[in-house]
Amino acid sequence: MNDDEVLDAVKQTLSGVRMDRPIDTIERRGRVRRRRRKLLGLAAGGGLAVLAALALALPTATNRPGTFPGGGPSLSPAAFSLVRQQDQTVKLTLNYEQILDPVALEDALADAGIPAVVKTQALCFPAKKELPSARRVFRTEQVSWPDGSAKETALVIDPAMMPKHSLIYFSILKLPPDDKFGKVARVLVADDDPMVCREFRR
Amino acid sequence: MRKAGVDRDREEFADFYQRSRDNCLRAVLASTGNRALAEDLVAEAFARAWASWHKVNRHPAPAAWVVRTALNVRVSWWRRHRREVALDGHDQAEVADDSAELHDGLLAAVRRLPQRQREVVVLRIWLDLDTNTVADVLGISAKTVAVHLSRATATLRAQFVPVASQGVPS
Repeated sequence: MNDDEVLDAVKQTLSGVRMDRPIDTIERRGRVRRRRRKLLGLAAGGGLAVLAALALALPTATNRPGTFPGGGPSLSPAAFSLVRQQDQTVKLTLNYEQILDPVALEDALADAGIPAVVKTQALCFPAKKELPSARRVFRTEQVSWPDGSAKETALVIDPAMMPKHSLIYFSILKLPPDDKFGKVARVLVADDDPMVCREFRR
Repeated sequence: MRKAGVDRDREEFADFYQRSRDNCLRAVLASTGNRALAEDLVAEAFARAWASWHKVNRHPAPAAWVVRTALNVRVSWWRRHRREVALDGHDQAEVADDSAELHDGLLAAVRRLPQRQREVVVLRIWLDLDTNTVADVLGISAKTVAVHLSRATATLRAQFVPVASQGVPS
């Protein structure tokens, strides 16, 4: 047997094998990967750096701290914690898994003097630019968990530093179950700034 | 305009999938020996190809990209599964038994080839790539490809002869 005959004989051993996976399932899986990649890229700082928006990683573990260091009265329950601190800033900690009612968070923020729009499963960014005062309005803090083994990032908002006619746009994204983190992005904009929102579906 | 571009991408990818899926599956199956696993790996690799279609489309051999991705996924899958198996207390041999499904001496011989030889054989046989393209895909010289192919063929021929002689009347 010459080389070609040997290789041809090997090739024939699998000639009856066919791939019958429908292309729809392939494309669907590919779209999920593409969306997730974009999302993680944005959250890692690529796209959001342009927006000067910050992505917060929220662990998916179920145990949550009951109180916050330096905390005051809690303004709202489980899906999110909104606490006014002694310096009049407001600390927001989100459990993205339970954010099912964006209006409830908007109302709670409004009660705390923070005009906001909350979008779930959509990433929103301004058609122009984020307001430069954003860096004075936001800061992040780590929250110690009861057993000290995990950390969570909370967003501290200073409503006094928000310019007149400004608001905060929150984008809360829940990734597929096998992902460890959900993502939250926020951006400070003028209340008449046009926003561009891209929807993410699971 | 953008929609037209997306439609064109989908058509190109669908055409690529139709043309290459069987050969990609055969190539991965030859390397893994497990039909169900090979099909999952190839499906995942095609999904990744679609997710990065603009890049893969420009690859000198997109089918080779799919096969290599599938085999890389297999490594990740194996490592993950090994951890899960250890946690569950199951027997790892269940996963390691690649040859049980095929019962074919020739394919077993392909899987026993050294990795580089096996890659050359798989790309050459099932994807019909020429020596230069195989060299590009693997990042080695054409001469090295020829050497690997020659050694692999010699090994396979030695395996093949007794199989062939079984059917020859004395």
